[in-house]
Amino acid sequence: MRNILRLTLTLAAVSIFSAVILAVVNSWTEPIIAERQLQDYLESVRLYFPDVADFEEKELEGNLFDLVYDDSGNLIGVIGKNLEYSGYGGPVVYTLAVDQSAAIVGYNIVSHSETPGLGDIITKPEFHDRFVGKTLEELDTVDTVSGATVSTSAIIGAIRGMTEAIAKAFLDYEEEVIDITQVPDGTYRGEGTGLKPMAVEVTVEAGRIVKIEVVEQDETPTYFVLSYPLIADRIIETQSLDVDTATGATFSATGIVNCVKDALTKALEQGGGEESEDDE
Amino acid sequence: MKTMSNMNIYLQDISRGIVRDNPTFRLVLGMCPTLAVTVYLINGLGMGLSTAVVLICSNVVISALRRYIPDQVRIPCYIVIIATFVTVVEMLLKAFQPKLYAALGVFIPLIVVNCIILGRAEAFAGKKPVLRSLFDGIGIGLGFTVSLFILSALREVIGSGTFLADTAYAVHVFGESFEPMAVFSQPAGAFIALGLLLGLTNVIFKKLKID
Amino acid sequence: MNGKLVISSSPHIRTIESVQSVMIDVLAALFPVALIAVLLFGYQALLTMVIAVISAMLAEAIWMRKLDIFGDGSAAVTGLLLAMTLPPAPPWWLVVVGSFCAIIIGKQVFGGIGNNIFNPALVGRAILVVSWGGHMAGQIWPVPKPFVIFSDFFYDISAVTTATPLAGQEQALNTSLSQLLFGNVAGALGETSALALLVGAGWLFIKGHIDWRIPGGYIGTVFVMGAALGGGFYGNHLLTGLFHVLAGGVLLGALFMATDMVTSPVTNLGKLIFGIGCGVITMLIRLYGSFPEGVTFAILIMNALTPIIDNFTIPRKFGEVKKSA
Repeated sequence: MRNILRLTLTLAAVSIFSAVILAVVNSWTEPIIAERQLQDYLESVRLYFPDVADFEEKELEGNLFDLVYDDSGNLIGVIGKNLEYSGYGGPVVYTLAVDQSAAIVGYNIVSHSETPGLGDIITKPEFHDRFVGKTLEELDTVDTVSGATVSTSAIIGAIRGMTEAIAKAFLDYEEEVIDITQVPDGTYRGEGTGLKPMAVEVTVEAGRIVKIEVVEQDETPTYFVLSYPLIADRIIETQSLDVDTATGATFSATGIVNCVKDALTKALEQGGGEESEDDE
Repeated sequence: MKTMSNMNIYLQDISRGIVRDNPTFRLVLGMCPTLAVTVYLINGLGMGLSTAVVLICSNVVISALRRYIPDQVRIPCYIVIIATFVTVVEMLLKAFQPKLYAALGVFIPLIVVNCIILGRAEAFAGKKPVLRSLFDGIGIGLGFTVSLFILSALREVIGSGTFLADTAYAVHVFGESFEPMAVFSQPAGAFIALGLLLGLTNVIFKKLKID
Repeated sequence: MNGKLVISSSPHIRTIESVQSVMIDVLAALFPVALIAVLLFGYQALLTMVIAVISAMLAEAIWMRKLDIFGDGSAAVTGLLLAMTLPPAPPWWLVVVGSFCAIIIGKQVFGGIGNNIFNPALVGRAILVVSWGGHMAGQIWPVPKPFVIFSDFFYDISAVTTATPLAGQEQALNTSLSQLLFGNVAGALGETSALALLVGAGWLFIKGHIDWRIPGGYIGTVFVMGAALGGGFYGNHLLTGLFHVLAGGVLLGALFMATDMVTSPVTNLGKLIFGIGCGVITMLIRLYGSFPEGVTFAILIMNALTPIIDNFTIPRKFGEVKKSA
């Protein structure tokens, strides 16, 4: 009995001794740590937005975003933190900075498992700089890198999608809605990028899309068959470009949608069927 | 005369920790942090010194308390004492050396289960007087630091082509255009480098007839 | 041997075969594929092979402090095998570092010939791949320039490069099976011509240095898995399987690397298991891993498992009764 008591008391004494030391050190270092972390974070934000004065954290679909404000309280950009997409070798975690006009300021790969020497080009400045200053629309023109096609097209797609989400949620960005009924009859050619550059011809009759034909593509065959003609049929069926692109071949599917969008936009800009060609 | 011989014992405790009982190359203890953090010299040094500080403190405290800690609960008591010092070191690093803290990451809390520290507590500090435990801690701690220094210097110079990267004294040993042998900065290279150094130590010790 | 009296227990086997004679046979067996490589890639291929062989022999001579640089010939074989796994025009230092790593880390630190756990040439290659991925994989495969006129010999083949057929389905479809068979395809020096490899291996087979079980198990597994899981391009699953056998380093690995006597199991069943294991790992890396080719790591992993395989497949002694559990 006495022995048990002794053991208990010893353990208790050691624990109390430990707790006291830890409490003292913690109360000393805690404010220093908190201050330092805030400074570190502001420092990293300053890399993207030199005018940062304050930020506000927002959550959207499970991701955390910081809305960045300048001295006079104007929104100057958005930073997405610890965003994730799946690359060639597995999940890639990255930070994305977008300014108030939905143009890319920069991104930073936090962790990745792409092939060293090939896919890890996504961490290199020469690839990163392809994005800088690109607006949402211009992101389609970022080229993939041959030899690392999957890794690079994955990050292009991820950044494009995320930028669109940020723009819609925080930047009052309004997507141009194409009014198909305004498009004159004719066949229009449009270009865009799936896994590789591709082109379509869209035939419009009486304000309705009646035919979508992919005329140029270099997609991986097994993926391409998943998206075409399925996506074309969906667009024709709904007469809308806002179709579900989840087909198992999202890149090819998105590519087709973007091509059609491009074709119709050009058609509206030119205001007529001058570009039209005969179908056969 | 007596102080003289005492001094000798203490010096022997230190030199034994560095050479004959070198924790990495002779006892082959604490391999997990040894392999994991030695990519850059500054990380290796930071890890070695952090471990040394924890080791010295825990050795002294355990030795001082050795008469009061009953045998049956000595392991939990040692662990609590070691964990306390590790947490203190962790908080201090986080506050004053955040870069090093970020680089060492989870291996700082893992010092708690570093077998060098518990091993010394059990084999030495729990039986010997305070002063000798202090010098044993210094010796073994320095031995660990020196080992990590050698290993991380080798790995950094070959694997990254730099020396003391991330510090004010960073140099590119072979010039900027050198294409480093990246395998040495990866986990597989840690094993290769450690294996080669262990072999080298054995050869040297055999030549010098130290057993 | 060296005039020493060797005492050992029976049975005694007399043979004129020595390590040196076996190694010379292996060098001879590698001659066809080396010749094809030089015909396809010109002087750079020859240079790569010469540097690899010389630096490997040099590494061994330095380590063993001997003057006889050829010695038992094993270093030369290691060097040549390493060269076979390299791209046709690597930087010279890459070859030298690879040879030194192969001989010293792959062989000598384990105690020299006969004591190494891993195939030395593949250790050298693995270190190079992990260290300098940019020089060892990716868009660095020169398009072969078959030897027609003499000046082709000095043609700088690194001018036009392409991806290996294994990089993806697209690259695979650009390559025909007959190209793979005769070797007019981008790849490492020894990966090009399947036919030359088979001729060389046939010589080793006739001399009795290799057993059918390891290459058989390896190639068979690759074929079956390629046909079943390869995606069935070329319009035919069997042809896909054949593609996986002929493309890349499977034949080189199966015939010359996996059959290394020191690092593969000694029992017949063990050899079969070893070959099948190599095949499975190769195909897993090719189809699901982040490297296009998996032969190196497959054989190294199976090398590590060799003692265990041997242990489990030791034949029962004559008259031994199975122990009841």
